[in-house]
Amino acid sequence: MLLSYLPEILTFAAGLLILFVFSVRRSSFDIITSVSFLTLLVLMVISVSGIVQPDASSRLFASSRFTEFFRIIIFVSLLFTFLFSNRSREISENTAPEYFLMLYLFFVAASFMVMAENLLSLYISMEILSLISYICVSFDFDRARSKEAGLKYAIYGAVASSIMLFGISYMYGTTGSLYYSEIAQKLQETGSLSEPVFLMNILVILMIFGGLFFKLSVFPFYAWSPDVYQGGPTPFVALLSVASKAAAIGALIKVVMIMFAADTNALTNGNIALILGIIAVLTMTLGNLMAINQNNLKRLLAYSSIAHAGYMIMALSAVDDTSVLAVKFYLVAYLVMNLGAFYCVQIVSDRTDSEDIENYYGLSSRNPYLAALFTVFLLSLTGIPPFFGFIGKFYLFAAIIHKGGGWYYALAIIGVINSAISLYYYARIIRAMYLLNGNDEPFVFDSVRKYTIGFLGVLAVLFGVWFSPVLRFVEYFHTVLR
Amino acid sequence: MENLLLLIPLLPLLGAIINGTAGYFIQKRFGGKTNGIIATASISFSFLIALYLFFRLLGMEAENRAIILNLYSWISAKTLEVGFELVMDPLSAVMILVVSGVGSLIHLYSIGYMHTDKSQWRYFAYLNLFAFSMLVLVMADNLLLMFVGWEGVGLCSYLLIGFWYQDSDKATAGMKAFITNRVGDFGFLLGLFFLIWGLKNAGADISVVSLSYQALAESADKLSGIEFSGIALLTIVGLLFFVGATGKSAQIPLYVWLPDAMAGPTPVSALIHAATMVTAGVYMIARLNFIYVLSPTALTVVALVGAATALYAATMGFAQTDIKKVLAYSTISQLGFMFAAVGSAAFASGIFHLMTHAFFKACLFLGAGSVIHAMSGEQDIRKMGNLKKRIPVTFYTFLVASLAIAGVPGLSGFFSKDEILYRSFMSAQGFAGIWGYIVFGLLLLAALCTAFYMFRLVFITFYGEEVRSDESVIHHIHESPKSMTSVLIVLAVLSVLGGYIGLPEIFGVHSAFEGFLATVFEKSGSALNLPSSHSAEWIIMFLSTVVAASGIFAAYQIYYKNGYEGARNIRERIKTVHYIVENKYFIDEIYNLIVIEPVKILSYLLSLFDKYVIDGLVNLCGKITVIFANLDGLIDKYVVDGAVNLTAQGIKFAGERMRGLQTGRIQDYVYIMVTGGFLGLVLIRIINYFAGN
Repeated sequence: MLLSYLPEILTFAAGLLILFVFSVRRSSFDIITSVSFLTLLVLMVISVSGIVQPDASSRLFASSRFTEFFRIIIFVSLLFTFLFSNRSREISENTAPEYFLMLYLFFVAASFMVMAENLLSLYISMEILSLISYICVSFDFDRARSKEAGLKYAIYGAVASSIMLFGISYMYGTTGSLYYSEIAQKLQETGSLSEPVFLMNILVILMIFGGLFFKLSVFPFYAWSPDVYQGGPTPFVALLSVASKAAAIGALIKVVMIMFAADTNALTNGNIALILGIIAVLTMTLGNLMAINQNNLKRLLAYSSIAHAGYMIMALSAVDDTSVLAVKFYLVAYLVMNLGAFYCVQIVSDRTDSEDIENYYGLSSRNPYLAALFTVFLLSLTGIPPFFGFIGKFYLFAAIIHKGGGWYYALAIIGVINSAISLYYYARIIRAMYLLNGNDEPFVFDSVRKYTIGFLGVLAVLFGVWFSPVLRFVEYFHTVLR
Repeated sequence: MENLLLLIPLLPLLGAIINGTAGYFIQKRFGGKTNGIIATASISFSFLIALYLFFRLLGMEAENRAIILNLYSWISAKTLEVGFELVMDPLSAVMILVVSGVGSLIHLYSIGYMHTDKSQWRYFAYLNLFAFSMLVLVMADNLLLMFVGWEGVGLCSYLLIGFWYQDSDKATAGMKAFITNRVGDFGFLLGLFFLIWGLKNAGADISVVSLSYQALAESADKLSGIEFSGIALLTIVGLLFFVGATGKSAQIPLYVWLPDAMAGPTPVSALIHAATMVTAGVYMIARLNFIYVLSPTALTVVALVGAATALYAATMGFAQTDIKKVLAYSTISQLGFMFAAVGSAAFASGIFHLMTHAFFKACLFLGAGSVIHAMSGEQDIRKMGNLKKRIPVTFYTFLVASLAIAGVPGLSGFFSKDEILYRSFMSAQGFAGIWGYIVFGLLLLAALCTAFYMFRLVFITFYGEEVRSDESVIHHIHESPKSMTSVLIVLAVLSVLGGYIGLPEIFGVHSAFEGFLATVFEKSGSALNLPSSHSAEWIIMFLSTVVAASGIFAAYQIYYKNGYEGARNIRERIKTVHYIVENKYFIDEIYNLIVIEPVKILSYLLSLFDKYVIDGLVNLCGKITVIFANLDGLIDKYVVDGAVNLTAQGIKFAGERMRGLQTGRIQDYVYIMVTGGFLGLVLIRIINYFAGN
């Protein structure tokens, strides 16, 4: 039984070991990164090798093909994070062992979050993940901005998680259980409800979702993300925007599909779909409109990632198997293009010490390679063929149109309008890089980063035209939730 | 064995990739010769593999002689199931050998010809890419994959015509070729769509459409009854594909691009615009023989257009003074012969002529290249003369090839051309009726003209008193390097001997070439049931010999002594006619007037529409978005901030603590969280209410 949690156990142990070894014997950043990277790579291989068998015997956590998918997503985004944390301007060499320990723990917490089968175990693993995130966001100790971001994040997170905890306690009070499946059963047995009780119940559902929405940075729990993204160390922020959201959406899928599976009982009665749909519309629209006037690229990407979370919630609001598959497919695309975009920003800001759009003027002549790749990522984020993001969005829209019905068509139309709006601010960056003149000094960066973003860029194009392997990968991990 | 098939197109692609990516550095580091060697080696290996497979093919049983490689399922859309399949059957084997064989020779020749060019890497990358596309075209086992190659060769042709793109005339010629070809491609695509429509929806009851030749041949009969608005579907399909062929193979009315295409480097003219790409249309019609034999109307149109082109283009050869242009019109004319052949349901004869033509026309073009090379880039034949002694190898190979194209007995062109004349004559007694005789007559005249204009070229260029050019040019005249002349010799030998694999039956042998191709065309032979007559064949053979001899004799009379000036009297007498012919019947001007100018005007009007109407709408949308965003910003600034300021008093203590971090906005965020949550709740209730819960 323990064997099924082997990746988490080994990662935890390896993190501590790395902290110990490198605290005793201070080494250079490169070495710490290489060791951490290779260790995690080995762990990832172990976790997909077949030694780790799914286990559904425990009641608090359960691993399955479904959770394995999220394990892989988090593993992969961590691997990229290692490569880009190395020699980052924002992370000092002295604190590197601690930082890498935090990243190892990040994996453990995020993975448990997806595996949770009980509201309380979900809450606890989420809380651990949050604590790690608060610490990592303020890891750039020398900067007030980073500390400020960490503190804001902590306060905001505290409020969000207490709201969630309150929701959970209310749910426990009415159904007498914390297990997803048991709550689902109890909800089925609920008779018709009076208006105030009904409203209260909707509010409780919103509150329980609140914690997950906070992690996903979805309306109305989005406000922390621009400040935190701007202040935090870029490599970690990139991780936050992908892995943390992946874990949250994994947990959200389980909550929605197991706890509110039927969605026909007196309490929810189609309201889960409605809640998710409304949240999705507000999130996309807000994220995209706010991004329009941003001049700081990290803030802009923060709003853009809010919008992308909105697209995923939109598809999820169909609450069926197709939409879950589409969301998972989109996560893979989102991983490739969002990490790529963040790393492009990091490469420029590590050199110029600023993320303002002025630094990107004339980048196409200073470093055509970087400019071209950034363009690929931005166009992919917009969802323009032949890039990966287009296929991802295609599946999202296909999922809700497949579900059908006036409400879903309206959702799809709003989603498409939002995509169109997003082109405006993405294209603004491309315009800055290609059409505006800046200073002409050539721009170089080290080869590890060069090959890494090159690799992501190749994936963003390759999977845009040849996406069947990705589809097969996602389908392979798409069996049952438990 | 099947897998070897893949290597044939893959090797040139590899060469193209190497030269396309690293070629610049290779040229800088090792010199352009290395680029040439890489390209030549890759296509030569293709040729060797093709040769090996060809012998394996010969060893197979005649009934199922084909090597098929099904690589993977390319397009799979419910009832459309198209594979990425390559095939080597007798027909494609001939094409593969011609393309890779003549291709190898021309690659080799190019090393010498292009040795001073600055971007040889680009040239060889394009040339290899062309070889790859052309091989895909001829090796594809279905129409869709053939179309990939079809477009690919079009692209490479465009790239190579405009190879010296700094010269705007040459770049324009490239565009002209590309656009004219697009018109044809449109026909090809439409034909394809009609075919799919017919197979799928018009009652043919094919469960899965694969578009492979085998499957099409089997289901062609089912299509024969189908009509589309009163016309037989197969006629429509056949004619539309023929439109595609007229574009690629430069037939009336889409031939105009080919003379201009001579702007490219001469080896390119030889390979693409004489030996291989332009014959793609003939190959396609031969491929689709099972469709054409079911539509005599389409066949007759093909034959008529081919024969008309053959004569028409041959007459234009009379008045040209540019050595390459003469050869270009000659190519158009010879392609007309091929179309007349396939249009007379003599598919094997068409392919036979395609092959012999590849030999002697490549030889002529490369010979012309050698002449131009010797003359320091001069292409005007009026400035040449008496080159016979100065560049003997070029002269003798050129002469042999000219004799072959003129149809002098014993050389390859004689056998293949004679075969076409005979078959068109016989078709008149079968399905074509009176039209068959017209085709035959046009072809006979065209053969006469061919002999005349070719020897006009030979006498003006190589004979006469002295070179009519500057002293410096004359001083510089020299025979081309070995890498070029050796290619000429090989091609000249092939021009002589190439015909003997297809000797007609009246010599008491069975035509090896026709027998080899018979399996591919077995259906067509039986479907039309054409008669044969040995006496007719003897007579026609005699006729064509007389025609060739009189053409050559006429040219000798007029041009042998005085070169171009020898014809001055005649020119004076038919001034108007000569003026018209010299200006290519003003077809370019007419096209310009009735097609290009109206399109320009239309595009100008559309640009106005775009500028004022579309842009206006787009700007309006943009404005609205910006307004909304500003509105959002205002709300954020005044409404939210205002509310925050009210509540700020209540949490002043927290605010005091936050001031150290220079912002007090966190409460703002929490406020949004809480109010947003309630806003969500209200929205849900409202929508829920209207949804009827």
